[in-house]
Amino acid sequence: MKRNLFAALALSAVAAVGVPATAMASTTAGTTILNVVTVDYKDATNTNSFSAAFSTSVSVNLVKAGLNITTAPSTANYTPAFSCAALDSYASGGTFSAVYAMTATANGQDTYKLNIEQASHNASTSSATYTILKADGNVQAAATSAASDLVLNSAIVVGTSGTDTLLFPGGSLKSAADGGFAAGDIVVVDYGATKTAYLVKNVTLGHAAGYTVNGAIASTATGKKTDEERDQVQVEAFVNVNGIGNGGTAPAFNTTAPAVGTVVGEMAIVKIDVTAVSSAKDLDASVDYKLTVTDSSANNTQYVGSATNSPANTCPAGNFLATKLEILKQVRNFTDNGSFGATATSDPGKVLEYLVTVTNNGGQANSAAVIDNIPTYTKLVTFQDTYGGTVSTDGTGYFAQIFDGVNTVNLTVDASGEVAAQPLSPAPSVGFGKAAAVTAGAALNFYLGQGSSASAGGTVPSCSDSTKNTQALCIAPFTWNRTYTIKYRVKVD
Amino acid sequence: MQKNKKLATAAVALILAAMPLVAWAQPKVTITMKAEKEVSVTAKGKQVKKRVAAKGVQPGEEIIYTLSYQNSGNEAAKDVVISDPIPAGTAYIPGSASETGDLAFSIDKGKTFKKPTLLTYELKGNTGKMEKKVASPDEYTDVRWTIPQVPAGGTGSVSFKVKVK
Repeated sequence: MKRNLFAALALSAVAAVGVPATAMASTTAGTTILNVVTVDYKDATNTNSFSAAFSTSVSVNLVKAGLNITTAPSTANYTPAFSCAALDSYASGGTFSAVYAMTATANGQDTYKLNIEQASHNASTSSATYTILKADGNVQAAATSAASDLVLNSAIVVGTSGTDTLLFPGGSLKSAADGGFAAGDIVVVDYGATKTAYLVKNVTLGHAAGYTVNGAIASTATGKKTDEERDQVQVEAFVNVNGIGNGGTAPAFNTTAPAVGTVVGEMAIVKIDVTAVSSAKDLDASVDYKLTVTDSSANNTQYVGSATNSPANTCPAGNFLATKLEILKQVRNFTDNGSFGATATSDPGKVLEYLVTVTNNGGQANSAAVIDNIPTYTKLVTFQDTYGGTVSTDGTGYFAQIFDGVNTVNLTVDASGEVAAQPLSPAPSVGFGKAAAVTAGAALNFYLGQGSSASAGGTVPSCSDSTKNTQALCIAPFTWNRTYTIKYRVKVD
Repeated sequence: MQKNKKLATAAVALILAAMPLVAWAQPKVTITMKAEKEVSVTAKGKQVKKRVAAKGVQPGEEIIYTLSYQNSGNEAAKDVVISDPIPAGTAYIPGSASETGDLAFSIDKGKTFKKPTLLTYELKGNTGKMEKKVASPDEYTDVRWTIPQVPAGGTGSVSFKVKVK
């Protein structure tokens, strides 16, 4: 029985050690604890009274603490929680982006250390960067893959004033020049179960209480006290913000105030961008990323990442789809109304139609171009008005047609080389093309997809609306065009 | 003549210097205070506790205030009352004040002082009746020592501890 009791005692001692220091920190770092002692006495006659006083000041130190890392809240009133950003699929070389929030919980300003790591699979190259965003979505610290420092403020509230002002011990907050709270900062006020993000509107720094008699030498003077003027942080509603969204309410501390002794912490929004290029055809690349955040002493480590993931404390950045481009060339005897196939037979003087089909069932490919030649013993057929219309006799006019599954463009060969009137609205680039000449052996170049031009290929697949050129954005009524077909005709000599 | 004048001046100065001792005998009590904290240090392989000046403290740490008084006057000081409001942002640690002279505490910012066991207050309870309660130490707002007499040349000190909130 005795042994059991000892075991229980040891266990409780261990548990006590594990309690973080912040649990006790209910005074802001930099607070001045002023103690004034007065001595009153009388002389031997008991008639004359005298007084003397003395004071000491003690400053409260910073208790470092880890940042509270959460999913970027969708509303300003939120319950903090963390989960890795949702997975999606991206083109090889495309970019995965996720936004998280990091909120200070210490009793004062600290310089946190950030570092990002990434591990890729089936990727020839990959990278991960992080960017610190301001409340309005603008960049506060540019994207980097290197370690960096981030100064965040937090303080323990000692009261509120009016509807919108948080009070802190006089002289405890850092000045704006020292990176203290400043207008536009996001601060999170603790209401117990939920938290609310506000924007700092104005900061007014006060000063600690003081006393004239202090130092090392005793005095017979009674001294004079300077009253404390508390530091004030005025806040306002946090609305229309990138990453946080709507739902920010104006503070009403006169009706609902944060409890005295709770932390008001600055929140930083961090955007993580991950990119990878698939190392092999048909093999999708994936990346695990981990943003490590510590306090200025490299303790209290927190991660943008989940402890239960493998590797631990990482988040997956989705699949960077390998391109799966396929090309198929078919031919038919147009004059005899034959069917497209691998081969066709023709008598001299008859017209053959070629059909080139480009399909990509994988990740988006850039600079998609088809290089072809006018077959030997044939001559390119051109049309006066439209592809398949009235045959032109001077070797100019329309010579080919590109179809992306939704829109069709007809390509011309003329003095200016190539023109492809693209569809109007929505306006994708279906493709462009160029015929070097109409004679056998002349090059036929075709440039496919969004972003293509008269001299370079675009992306395949592409959206039928050029403004939505990722598969995630390309939703109904638009279509994600994976298959492009090119038709042209030649006349057998 | 010149020499005589100088002598006379010196004599006046001597008389002036001696006068307070005779004519205005009075107590002159000064007080100083130091704020310290206890830290664990390893000396000769053993962990020992040592008091160091508390310039900066962590929330949750204890500050030991030592108030030293000295009567540098030539007469005893009577009814010496040392009053110290518990500093804002800290809480008094029960039982830490030295039992010197007459020790009393206040819960009303120094308006009234009582012995700890007598420190009571009334609250309207659930039944609507006033209920008498005893103040818990962290409600103490002031600590006070009353020392009946400090003789000329006498010194002494009192101390108490607080915990930083």
